[in-house]
Amino acid sequence: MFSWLMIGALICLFLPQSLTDRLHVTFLSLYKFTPSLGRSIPLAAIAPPASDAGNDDEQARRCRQLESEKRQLENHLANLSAELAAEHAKVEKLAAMRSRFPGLAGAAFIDADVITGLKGGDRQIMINRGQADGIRNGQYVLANNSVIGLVHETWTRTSLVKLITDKTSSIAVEISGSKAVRVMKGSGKDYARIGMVPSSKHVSRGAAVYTYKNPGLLDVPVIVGKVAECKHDDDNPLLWDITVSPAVKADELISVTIVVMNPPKQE
Amino acid sequence: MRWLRFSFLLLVVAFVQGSSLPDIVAVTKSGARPDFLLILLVFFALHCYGYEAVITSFAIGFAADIVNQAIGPYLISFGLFGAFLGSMRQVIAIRRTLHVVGTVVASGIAAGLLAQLLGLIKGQSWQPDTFSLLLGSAIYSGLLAPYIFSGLLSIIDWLGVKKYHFTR
Repeated sequence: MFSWLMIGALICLFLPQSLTDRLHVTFLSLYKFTPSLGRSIPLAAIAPPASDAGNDDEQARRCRQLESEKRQLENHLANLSAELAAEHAKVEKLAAMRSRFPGLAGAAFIDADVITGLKGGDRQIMINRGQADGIRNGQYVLANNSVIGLVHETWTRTSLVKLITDKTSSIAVEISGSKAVRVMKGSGKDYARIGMVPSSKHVSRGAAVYTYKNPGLLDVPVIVGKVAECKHDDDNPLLWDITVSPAVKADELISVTIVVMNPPKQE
Repeated sequence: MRWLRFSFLLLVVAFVQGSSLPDIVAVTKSGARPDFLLILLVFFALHCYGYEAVITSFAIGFAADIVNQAIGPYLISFGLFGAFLGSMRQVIAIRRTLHVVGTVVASGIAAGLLAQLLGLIKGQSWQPDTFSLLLGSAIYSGLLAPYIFSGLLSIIDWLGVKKYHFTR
């Protein structure tokens, strides 16, 4: 009995692999009912039969290559998912902004992230959108539904935004209730100043300050800040010296939105 | 021996061995897995009469070959060592737990090495960690063997195995 079985076993040993592969495939078909229990090793049995021993190395190399490609695709999928989620968030944010500014129906809103914040005495920030995205000098920059500054300089992929508190900043504004349109200038600190307002005009502390509409750049008034202090000018007591506190703290800026009033038509 | 029931048991064990379950319980850095077919081989070799021990050994070897994707190496190796264990049992009684563990470990190493050597004929390559894997698998199987033996002993009547009584 033992001898016969051993002879049979030796015959099996010398049978070509291609003849015995069917047995493996049949056995593997058991796992189709419970795929989660199957191992990755049996996949090799389904592959074309090896003609010689050297093909093992080739198959192992191919297997490693496929695993590497699988990892690459998995990572790519994860990146795409994250990108999609970020785009969804942007769309929601911009849609909310459109609903808050119905007067800007034809305008485009470009979302941008702040690359570098305030440095030293400069009240300027760098954003990750530039000429390639349709950003031009003078465009208004919003954050938290208020104007924070204007685009000062643009490059292909980045732009420099001068905040309303920058020392060289000047922007036409209107104080609510006073109907006085004046130029608001930055102080280089955390506030801006409005001068040349006659003391006959009633200006109350806490009054909202809006941008004066600037056709082609911003067609509707948008809040800039609030009157923090209102006192008589030291040089000319007939004028008010108004201090404006920005509606958004500059050092808390993470992302901003640029208003493009006349966006190029998409083809 | 009720061969149909034995075949069913063998198929179940081969299915488990070929599945990812042994990988789940694998230990050590090299991933030593328990070899349930080896435990089955030692059990039937120690509990069956002469020709039944030989047939079951070859059958288990055939199942191991199907799981390991090359027909022949384990068929010869398990057949040889199963028959050897069956004949050894007529001289030495392997009843104590420690003896069972030792038998499974020794059989695992010897049968595994022989199967790997025969596998070279089938074009399989000798991996650098083959021996450590064999050793780990044999020890792991040896440690599990007493528990699995007690389970198999409970169905030994269902399998129709005529119990071997050691006589001096």
